[in-house]
Amino acid sequence: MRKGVAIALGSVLFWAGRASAEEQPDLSNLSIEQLAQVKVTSVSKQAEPLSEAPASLYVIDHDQIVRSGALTIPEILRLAPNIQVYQSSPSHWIVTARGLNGLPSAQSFSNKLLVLIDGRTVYTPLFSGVYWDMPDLLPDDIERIEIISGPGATLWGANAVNGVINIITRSASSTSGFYLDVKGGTNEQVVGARLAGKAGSDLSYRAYLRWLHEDAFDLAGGGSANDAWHRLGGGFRLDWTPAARDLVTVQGDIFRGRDDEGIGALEDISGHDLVLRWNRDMGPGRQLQVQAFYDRSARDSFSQEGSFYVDTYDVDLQDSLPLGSRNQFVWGGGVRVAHYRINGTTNFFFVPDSRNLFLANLFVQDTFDLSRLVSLTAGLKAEHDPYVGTSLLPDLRLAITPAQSTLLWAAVSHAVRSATPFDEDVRESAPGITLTGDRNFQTEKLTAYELGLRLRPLSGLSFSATGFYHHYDDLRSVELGPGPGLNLFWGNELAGHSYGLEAWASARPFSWWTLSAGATLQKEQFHFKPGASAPFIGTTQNGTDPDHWLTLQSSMNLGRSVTLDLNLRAVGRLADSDVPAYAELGGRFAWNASDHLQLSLLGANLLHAQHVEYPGGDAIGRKILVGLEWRP
Amino acid sequence: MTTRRAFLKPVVAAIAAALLAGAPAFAEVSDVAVKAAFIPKFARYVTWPSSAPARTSAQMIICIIGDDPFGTMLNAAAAGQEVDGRPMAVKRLSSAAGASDCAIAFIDGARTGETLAALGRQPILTVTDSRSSPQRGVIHFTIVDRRVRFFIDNAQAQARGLTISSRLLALAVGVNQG
Repeated sequence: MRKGVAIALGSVLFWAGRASAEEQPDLSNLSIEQLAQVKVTSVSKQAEPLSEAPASLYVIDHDQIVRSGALTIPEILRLAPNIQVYQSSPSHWIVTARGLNGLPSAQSFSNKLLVLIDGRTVYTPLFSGVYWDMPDLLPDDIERIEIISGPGATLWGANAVNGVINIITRSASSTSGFYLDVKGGTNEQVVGARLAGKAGSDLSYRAYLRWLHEDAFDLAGGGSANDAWHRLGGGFRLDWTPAARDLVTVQGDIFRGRDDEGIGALEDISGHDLVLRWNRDMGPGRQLQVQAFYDRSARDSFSQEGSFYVDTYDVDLQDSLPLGSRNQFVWGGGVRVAHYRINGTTNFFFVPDSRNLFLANLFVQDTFDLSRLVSLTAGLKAEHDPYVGTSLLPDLRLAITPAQSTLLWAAVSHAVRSATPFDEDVRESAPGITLTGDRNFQTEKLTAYELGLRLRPLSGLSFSATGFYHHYDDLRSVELGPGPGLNLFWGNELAGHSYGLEAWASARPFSWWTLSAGATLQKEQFHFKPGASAPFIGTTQNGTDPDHWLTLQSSMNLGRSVTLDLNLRAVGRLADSDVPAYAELGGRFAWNASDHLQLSLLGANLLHAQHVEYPGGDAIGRKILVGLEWRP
Repeated sequence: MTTRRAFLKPVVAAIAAALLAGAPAFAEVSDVAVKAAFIPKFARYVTWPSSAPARTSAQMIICIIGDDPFGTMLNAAAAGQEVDGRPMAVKRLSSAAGASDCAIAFIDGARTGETLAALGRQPILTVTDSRSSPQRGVIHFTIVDRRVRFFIDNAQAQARGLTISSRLLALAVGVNQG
């Protein structure tokens, strides 16, 4: 043992004498066959697609995901500095960007994000929010998650108002063989398995299965919240390259689960989907993508007899081509039909209870090089929704790259959150009080002004800052109708603005240590419009947002086989609520015992025995799990 | 109890050593370093047409067109390598203009497709990276099971007049024969 320490110290002294932070072992004497077998311990984050995009874009990459110890998609999203994630129960999460996180007591839920998994939308058309207990993936299958705060409506599509979350899974060819992932603690157990390989030289496949179970949290006032849940899901992906310029992907998932919703109340969740995608490289810089998907989502709260299902059918086309030497032109469009049926209860139902929602869009965007350093991107999307009709969504972005390591950008864009069945058709009642959807509900409108700077002065050092000013109009409000009792209905009588700063930086002081920090600071000011009839409900009914959100991450390679990752977040007090500011810590310690076996210790919410993140939310406890990953 | 201590000790020592020194106890192997090592070695397994600059010029020139992920790594990797007694040199370009004397061109960044198109059918071994571009050169890097591997587009190679040895083809994760 002493000898080992002496060698370790010797190597430390040897390395300490060398100044460069980018030491690499000598690979030049290896044969190409040996090079093909060199195991890469870190994959660069430099060449991300979209890294030059003039938008507030943060990318969570594969390494960050698997090293964070996060087990579900919302937990992974906590790694991004430009998005806000709140947990209210083991299976219920609220995710938003640039505020507007909802207020459950005013029947308002976060509803202004576009969330995609491999091109398939996962927000529900019923209220434009996301049921975060429904999508689930093996973290190891995720290639990266692109997070854009701010509108991305022109290219991205419907509901990209306050942000876009684009989850991209790895191609089937990037993994092979069997993989087993078991993580367990006293409160949570997860088992994942994957089989991947090749059938012939141009067809790769992957299939996975994942089981997740989480025990109930406590109520904020003490006692069990009785909200344990479990979920079993599986799926596959096929990538076929019939020719070098073609890539055909077929993928699908299926899942079943059950959420306890308090004593005696149970909710079954289920769904399946199938995605077909064809990419063709048309030569000279031209790319064509055609995609179709089908998705079924269903929830059945059977003890209270409420249930619904949604079937979504969607076809999209996107064509990107250079025009001359100075224009990069993109055009495309899509149609989507969502068929749903809601079996309501006597005090919560929809009229009508079933509809076919037809959405269509057509867009054009051109990036024009004004000079070698300056480019202008102008886009326009026409979006048709079933309630209000057609909205025009323009977007203008200017990018200046005075040096290869510097990007300065500015953008003005317009986006809308279209009306949904929850805005138009809902009927809710409680003794002495009713809430009715409004057939004249308008789209909620946002005009956003952004200014951003991105720097990468040195390899391993990067910085991004975005200032934003959002002007909102026709935000949803609770209005008071005539008659005895409280007859409430939805209106569009709130307007106002929010502004703030999103900034993050990443540094690699040593090749074995990466440090990242992020901060979002925001202020919101909303006011009632002259037609408002129920101003007593308050201007924060669309969100009880904190004024700051800070993140800090440390990622260390302690030798060849040990890694230690820590992530800290500090969140401000939620406005107009009793949810205090808090700070929490999570992370993972992993030991790669061999090429085939990794053992880990991971945890989340480690600093406090319990804390609350959202109004009416549970007291979230500490969790610690041990993990085993095996690749025979 | 004694067995657990024995198990924990080397880990603790490694952490302490690494933290105290503020320097790596072990070197990192990044994907970029492996790619930089690969590129000069490709030259030995490719035959260019006899009139190509790759055969006629005094130096074998490796070009980086667009973004440069390598820093000094590619220069270092190319420094010791030679083909038929000719040394290798690295040249950086912002576009396909001036690429006619390149033997190998690594093309990276948002304009990869345009650059590939602009290179036409010149006898250049084009190399691209799946991490930054869906467009593929003759050799297209990818990562499989945490190892740097590549696809080979043999049809594109033939269109450029290049012949790729079976030893290199055997290492590809996929070969497009057209």
